[in-house]
Amino acid sequence: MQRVAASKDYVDPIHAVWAAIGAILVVGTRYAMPYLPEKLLFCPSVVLFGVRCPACGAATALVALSGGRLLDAIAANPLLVIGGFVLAVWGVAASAAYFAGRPLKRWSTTKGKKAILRWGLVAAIGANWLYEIFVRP
Amino acid sequence: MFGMAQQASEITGQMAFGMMGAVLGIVIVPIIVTMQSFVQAGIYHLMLIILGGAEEDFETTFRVVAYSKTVQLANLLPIIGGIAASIWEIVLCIKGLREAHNIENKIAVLAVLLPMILCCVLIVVVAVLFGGALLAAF
Repeated sequence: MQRVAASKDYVDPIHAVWAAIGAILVVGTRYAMPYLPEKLLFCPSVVLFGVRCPACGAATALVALSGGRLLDAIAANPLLVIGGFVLAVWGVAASAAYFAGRPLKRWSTTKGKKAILRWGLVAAIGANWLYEIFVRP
Repeated sequence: MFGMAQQASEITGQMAFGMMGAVLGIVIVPIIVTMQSFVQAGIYHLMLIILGGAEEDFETTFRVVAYSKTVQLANLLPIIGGIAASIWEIVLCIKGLREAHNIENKIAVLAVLLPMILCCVLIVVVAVLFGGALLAAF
């Protein structure tokens, strides 16, 4: 196994941890659920303001994922599930490439690419929020 | 006599259960705190990207969050310790992000406070799911 010197031009292998966190959350939820009172699964934003927040449905998605119901999980919070999966795969790929001696190059290095990333994220979070407020039953 | 023996047996059982909980806590709590720090750093870094303040990589943001967690030692003080630690951690995160990413104060403040204003749910989900389960189990 060959280690590559850390550089700001390359994706850090630390991102593989996202996959581990995702797996622990899904498996952990499966075993933690029987001990949870149903009333714990609420959103403070809905209780206080009556409006769903951008991360609403996160707990529902986790519970659905832990039960193997992928479509229900995506319906509860599409950005969290699809984005989380992409992040996990990207993290593992970045870590594998790093330890194989061919680290992935960082994409958003120029101002233009940083702006694309920024507004892409804003659009994705905004679209997810609108879905949570107006579309999700 | 029989009642006293039963009471002693119950107390021994409760102590054994408590000890088991403490041992499990030693294993589980560091994992939960690490995960929570990672998710917290991820949210701050996402906010920094959106606000145009992510001058350094994710590792830098994670380091700031990890260092700021040291103030949780204030939890040793009863009642006021936890509240003081939470507020001081936010202050340290703002100061740390400002210095580590070399950004303006207002961007650092927004990066830390915006997710709390919009939704603290992702952090709450981890805390509630696992904290609640631990409380219920032990």
